[in-house]
Amino acid sequence: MFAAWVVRYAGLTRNLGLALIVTLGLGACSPANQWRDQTLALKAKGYAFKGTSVAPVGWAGSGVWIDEHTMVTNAHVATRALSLQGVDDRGRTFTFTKIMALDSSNDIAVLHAARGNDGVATEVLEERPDDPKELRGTKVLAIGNTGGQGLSVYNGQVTNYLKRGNYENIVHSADISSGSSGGPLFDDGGRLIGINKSINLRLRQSFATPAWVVNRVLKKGKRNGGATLKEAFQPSKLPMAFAVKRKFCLNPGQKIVAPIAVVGTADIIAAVQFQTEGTPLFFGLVRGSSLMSKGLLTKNLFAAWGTPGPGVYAVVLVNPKKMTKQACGIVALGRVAWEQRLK
Amino acid sequence: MNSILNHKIGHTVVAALAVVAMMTAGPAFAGSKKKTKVRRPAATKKVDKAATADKKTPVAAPPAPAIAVPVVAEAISAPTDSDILEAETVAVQPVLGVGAGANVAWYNLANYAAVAKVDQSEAKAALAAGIVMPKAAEKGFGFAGASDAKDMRVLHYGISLSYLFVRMSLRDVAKSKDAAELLKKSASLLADLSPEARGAAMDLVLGASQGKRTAASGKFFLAEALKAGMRGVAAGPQRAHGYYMAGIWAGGALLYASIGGNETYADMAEPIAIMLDKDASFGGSDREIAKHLRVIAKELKAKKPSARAVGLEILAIQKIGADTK
Repeated sequence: MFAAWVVRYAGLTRNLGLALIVTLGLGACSPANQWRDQTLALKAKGYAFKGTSVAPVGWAGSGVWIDEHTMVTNAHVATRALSLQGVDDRGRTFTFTKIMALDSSNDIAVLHAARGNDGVATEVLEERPDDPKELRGTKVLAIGNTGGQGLSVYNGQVTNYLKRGNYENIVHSADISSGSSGGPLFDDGGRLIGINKSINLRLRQSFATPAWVVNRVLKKGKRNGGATLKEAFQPSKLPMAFAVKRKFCLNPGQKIVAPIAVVGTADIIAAVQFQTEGTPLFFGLVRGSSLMSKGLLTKNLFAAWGTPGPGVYAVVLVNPKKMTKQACGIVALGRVAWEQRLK
Repeated sequence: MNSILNHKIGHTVVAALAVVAMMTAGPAFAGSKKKTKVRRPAATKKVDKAATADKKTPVAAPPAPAIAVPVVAEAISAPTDSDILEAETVAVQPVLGVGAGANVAWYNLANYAAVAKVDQSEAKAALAAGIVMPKAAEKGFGFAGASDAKDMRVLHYGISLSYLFVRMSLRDVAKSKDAAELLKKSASLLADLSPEARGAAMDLVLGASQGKRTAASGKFFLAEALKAGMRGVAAGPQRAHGYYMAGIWAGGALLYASIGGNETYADMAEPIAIMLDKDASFGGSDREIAKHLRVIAKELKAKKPSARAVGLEILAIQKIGADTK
């Protein structure tokens, strides 16, 4: 399912030299155990799109402190979260109410906690190495909130760096799994070199967004004012970015199909403006030959769906066979542009 | 198979529709760069009230019995899978490149710098073998039906435009000028396309004929042409823009095969291929073209894409004849 994801984000590099942010303030913590203060097991409460409805959902992920008030995780962990809490390995709990930056294409979100972490910070590989491929072979430590059960530790090494277009990925062999999204990838010196985001089960590979990409997003976030999670992800008045709109007229039993090529992850949206009255439509979201979602539209509205990764999804609108008259309207297709909510 | 690593703790109730809303009348659908204002009923903000929105809403159902009472929403229940999957397809609207990173992906389609670093021999060989200049246009159009000679010429013109773009990317200035002159002479073939689509094409052609390669003269040609094609399918004529998009995408694939592939670009083939497939239920040649597009897309996702293989597939598309003459 995520083969496309892999290649698109593939671009793994490794930095030599440069970079660096120094950190400290870790108190009595030995370097080998710094991750216990730096890493957070995250618990989010939010919702998922189900066509014309939303379903309250909770999920778990991971995050890492960058400085005393700033935490980085994956965009797909933060998106649609209305509350987000983190617990470090000492049992201290932190609440994140503000999102400073969201970069869905690189799968990075930057969040702010009002209550600081007593000076914990993280050394980051801030600059892209001249030849990121030289990162291959670097011993790594990945930390993840596996299954939402608390922080687990995984050892491995960087196996590759992939770059396609503007997307870069560090590929490594630490065997992370569900719940590790947004967790840190440290090198053997305790330096943050990436943020874990996905795995390829078939190839047994793990993927992380390089830290120098994270650094760019971080800088942007610090320039922005950000927004509270409730402002950013409230499910009403969705910010929409439409790629195309078109008129349609369907006789009973007919449908219009809109195959959509999704880049990265996106909440896709289909907005319908009816031009005929009393003409409900069935709607569906199809991937391959599978119907992922279906429902009924009875008035002007829109349907939205979260997509689990890049690929082609088809929105389908059907004039039910039972109807006796033609249904006409305008459909607009695009995505929910969450980043528009960040100031 | 990759999977994203967040872990769902558990689903709870499916509450309804905070999202549902009435679209405002008038120009509700702005373009992708414009904000769209949506007016929502206040009740949708509260989940308990919004839950009622999921119930069937009677739409003008007359209480009095009548023989010819139309079936209305009240009588329509939730669809079955077959209601959705087995309905007759009468229109397909391809949507290319949706996502937060889409703009980056679109404009990354002008990656000249990368081309200069690769072995260009295969791409140049494919270009030499693959040029089929369109001839004068004939009549015909109409969605869902057999392709005619004009359809094929629009398709070939699209391929030739993208080949010109590839030539410019390869810095083959002399041959770019020659190709641009030929395309200029055949520009009447684009008469049925939208001003946006014609504009993107002419920026490229005129720029190439003057030996330029700037943003204004086609640097973003692939992105602009594909977007124009997509919007043209929506606004019509659908068939002309559909074939144009197919040609543009196929020709542009040669560039990406030369620089090691591009997953985003490859994924754009499928919506176009689905459109051609559905249209093929009325005609014949579309399914063949769709098949070749999918082979090219697969090649672009290969570990080491072959420009030669892509060039041969494009050549095969160019050899497909119209269903009607």
